[in-house]
Amino acid sequence: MELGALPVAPTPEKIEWGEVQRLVLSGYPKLVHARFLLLRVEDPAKARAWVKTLVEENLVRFGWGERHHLTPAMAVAFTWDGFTALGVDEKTLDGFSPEFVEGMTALGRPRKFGDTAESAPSEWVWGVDAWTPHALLAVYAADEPALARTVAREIARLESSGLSLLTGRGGEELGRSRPLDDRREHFGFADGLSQPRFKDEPGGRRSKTVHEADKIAAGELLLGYENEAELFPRSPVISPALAARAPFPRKDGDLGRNGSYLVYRQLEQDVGAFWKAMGALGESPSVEDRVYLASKIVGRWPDGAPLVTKPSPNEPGARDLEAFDYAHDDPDGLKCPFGSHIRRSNPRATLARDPDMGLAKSKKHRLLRRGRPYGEPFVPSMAPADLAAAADGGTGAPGERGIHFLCFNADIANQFEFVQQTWTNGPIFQGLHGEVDPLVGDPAPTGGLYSIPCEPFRKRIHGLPRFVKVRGGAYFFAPSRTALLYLSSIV
Amino acid sequence: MQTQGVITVIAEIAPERVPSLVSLLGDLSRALTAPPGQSAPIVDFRTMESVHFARFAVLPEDSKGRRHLAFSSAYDGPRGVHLSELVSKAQPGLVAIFEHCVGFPERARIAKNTLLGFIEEKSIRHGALHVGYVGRSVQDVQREDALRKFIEEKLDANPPDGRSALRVRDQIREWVKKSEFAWALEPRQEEISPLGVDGFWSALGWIATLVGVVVGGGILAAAFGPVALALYGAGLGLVGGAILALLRYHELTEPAKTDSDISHGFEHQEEEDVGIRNQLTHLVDVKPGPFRYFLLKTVLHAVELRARFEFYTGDLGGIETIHCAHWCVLEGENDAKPRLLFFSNYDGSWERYLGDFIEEAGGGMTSVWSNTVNYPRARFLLWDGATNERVFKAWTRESQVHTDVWYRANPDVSIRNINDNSRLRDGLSGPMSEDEAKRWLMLL
Repeated sequence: MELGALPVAPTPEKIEWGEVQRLVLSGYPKLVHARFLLLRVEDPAKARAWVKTLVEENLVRFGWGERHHLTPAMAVAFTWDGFTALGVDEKTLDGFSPEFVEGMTALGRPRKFGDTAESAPSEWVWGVDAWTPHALLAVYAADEPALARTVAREIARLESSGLSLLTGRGGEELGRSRPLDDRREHFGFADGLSQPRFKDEPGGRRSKTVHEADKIAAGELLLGYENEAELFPRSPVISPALAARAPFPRKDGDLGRNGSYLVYRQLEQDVGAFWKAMGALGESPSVEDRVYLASKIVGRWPDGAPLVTKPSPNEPGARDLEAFDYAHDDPDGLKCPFGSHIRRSNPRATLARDPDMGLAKSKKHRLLRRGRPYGEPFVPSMAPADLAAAADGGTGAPGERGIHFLCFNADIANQFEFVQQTWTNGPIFQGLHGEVDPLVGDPAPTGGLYSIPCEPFRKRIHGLPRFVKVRGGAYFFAPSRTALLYLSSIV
Repeated sequence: MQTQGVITVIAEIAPERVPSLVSLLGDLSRALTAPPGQSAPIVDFRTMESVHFARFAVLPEDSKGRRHLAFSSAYDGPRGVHLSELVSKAQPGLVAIFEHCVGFPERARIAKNTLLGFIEEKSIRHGALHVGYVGRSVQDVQREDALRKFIEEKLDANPPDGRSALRVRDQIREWVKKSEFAWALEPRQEEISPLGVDGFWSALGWIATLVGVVVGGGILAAAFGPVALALYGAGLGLVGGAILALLRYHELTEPAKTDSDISHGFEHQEEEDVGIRNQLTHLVDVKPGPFRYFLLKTVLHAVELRARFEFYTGDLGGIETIHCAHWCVLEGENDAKPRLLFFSNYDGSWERYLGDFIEEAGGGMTSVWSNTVNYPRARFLLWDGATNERVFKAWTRESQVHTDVWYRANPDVSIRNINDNSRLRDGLSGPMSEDEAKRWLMLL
């Protein structure tokens, strides 16, 4: 077999969970404090030794592990530039997917993603030019002091590890995060619901039921396994030249196996503008009407209850916040508008006339989200009434806030990029006439239009401003345990 | 009857004049995309009533090192009327472009008929064609979209009270009646019919010929008695079996693209996704040898038949995103290798377009393109091939050709929008129940 080509192995294999970085398997719900350290490689040899330390000191965790583990944990991932800086040769790196090689800002991507005007890469604080990161070290801890201790220890040894800590374009510190109560995001809505799950996840891990619709093939999230199309994601294979420098422990030379692409975008949220616009553009500036419009935009009520099962605030709604489908329960968008944020991000079974086919199609475009908020909450309570009042009175907390949006996928083009371009930023998504995601999209080119299906006829909102601004971003790859140890063995 | 069709012109470019042509087309492209009133394109498709889509592409060298200019338009017919509009509205521009080509007649500079004759002489038949909205002209698309915008704005400005959908519909009809859109209250004249696409009759002709030959042979054999008929049947079976065996032999021995050689950094990506509509120009060598060549021709005929008789309502086997697409075989003149040219005008992103292709019509794609060089390995013409999504997409990118000029009328309207707009218009006339009116209002 020619090198670079992966054997399309027909034998179903058990997933090597112990090889997979734990962040792919768990969002560390107990380790609520996090810091994202963006690094550059200054001395390849020392940096390679550092990678080994991360594994050997049990800092980067693998496999499912203990559910209630409270000791700090880490995850590590590299950009294409990072792998190059570590000394991996181009022939090997060409085995990564084209979009990972080209990068988030290349070949018209900003236009396709809506990363324009204030969100254009030229305005980013990190992710371009000299501010391109080589590595991401994500640090998680259960409490503030533990996080501070761990981060301080890691930063202290960066220099001797041949690494430098990346700061922003204006010299600003990057990657701090701050938990918000009840797993909300800054606009005040519950976040992180309806995640995809491994179809072959070991049983008994969760008390919560996993819905069929959310179960996806391992190859949608991990390299080395079959995806929903029954194909293997493309994976880099050790080149003969690299193998001569250091032999790879696996015969097939598959460097990517058990690894996953990590998309990282820093998104700033303008909470004041959001709740002000809800007052100006809704039926009335009352809190109820603001919450109603905001929920029609998100697709869920602030507490996470989906509009599909709870169309009006007075209804009890279902206990389960994830079990619903648009194709059966809301084909006309009367409950949850076609253009709402959650319907665009995951259209579930509506992608084809036949719901089973529609669901099968949407399973090829799922993202495993691992984001964390940053910045002080606009108001401490995060309650819509207080958010709205602070927006009107200009009394919200100052400073930047938003989300470190991180997500895992095995095929960036068909997953993250597809969702961002065709669904979130797609003006003709599901038959719409020129509008984009009202929550996170760039509504300027379409006049800030948003349609809300109603009986007997729709309501239309005009002039929605942009609430979310992109501040930085890059494509990373989170290698397996074997791959990390291999990287550190290159001489 | 309103007909639609495509014209494809392929003309060899004088070798020393390629750079000048490329630069001229670059200017034309910029002029066509500039805001109206701020430019004077040498071929101003915007002023033409019969043009849905048009493009110019300077094709890569053929196997003999010659380069050709491809021009293609998707028109409202009849064909003759479209061509004469083209020539009468853009004669100087077309001359400036086609004079770069070999054999351009001097007289065409002054005589419209000579220019027309040159274009006709260089035009080739499509191998297979799909048209997304049969029966609706460029003007229909434009005015039905304007009608929808009119209704939407009226509803925004004066939302009617009450819950009755029929009342709302009456109010809308009232507005329309008093507006420049009053025509929309009359039912549509044109029926959507397969006869609306140029090429229908020749497609029917092929079927007749094929049936004629097979059945005719049978009748002839029957005349010689039952033994001859049985032999004839067995002979047909044997020929079929031999063709299948030959096909499989080719499939297993020909070079095919795999995961190992996927390139990156294609600059076409940079030009895509400006607005909601997109285009693809794709050119690839037909696999060597007569077997693949004749198989390709046969498959294109079959695809053309399905397009003419089955997929004429805008829905290409579940794909509702293709405005107009066609294949043409470029016969290798003067010993050049034959090539397969593909033009497509579609909605949304390239990734989604090809993804839909693979999911809904992968067999169709594979039956055509597996006859061309380096296509991912197919199985019995219809299977595998395109289903290897990543490899198929990489293969497509590699043979994609830069489109020098691309024009689309009504750039902001998708096929789904066009079809919904037509339904909206159709619902303005005739009686309706409350429930029907409710459904109809959902189109807004």
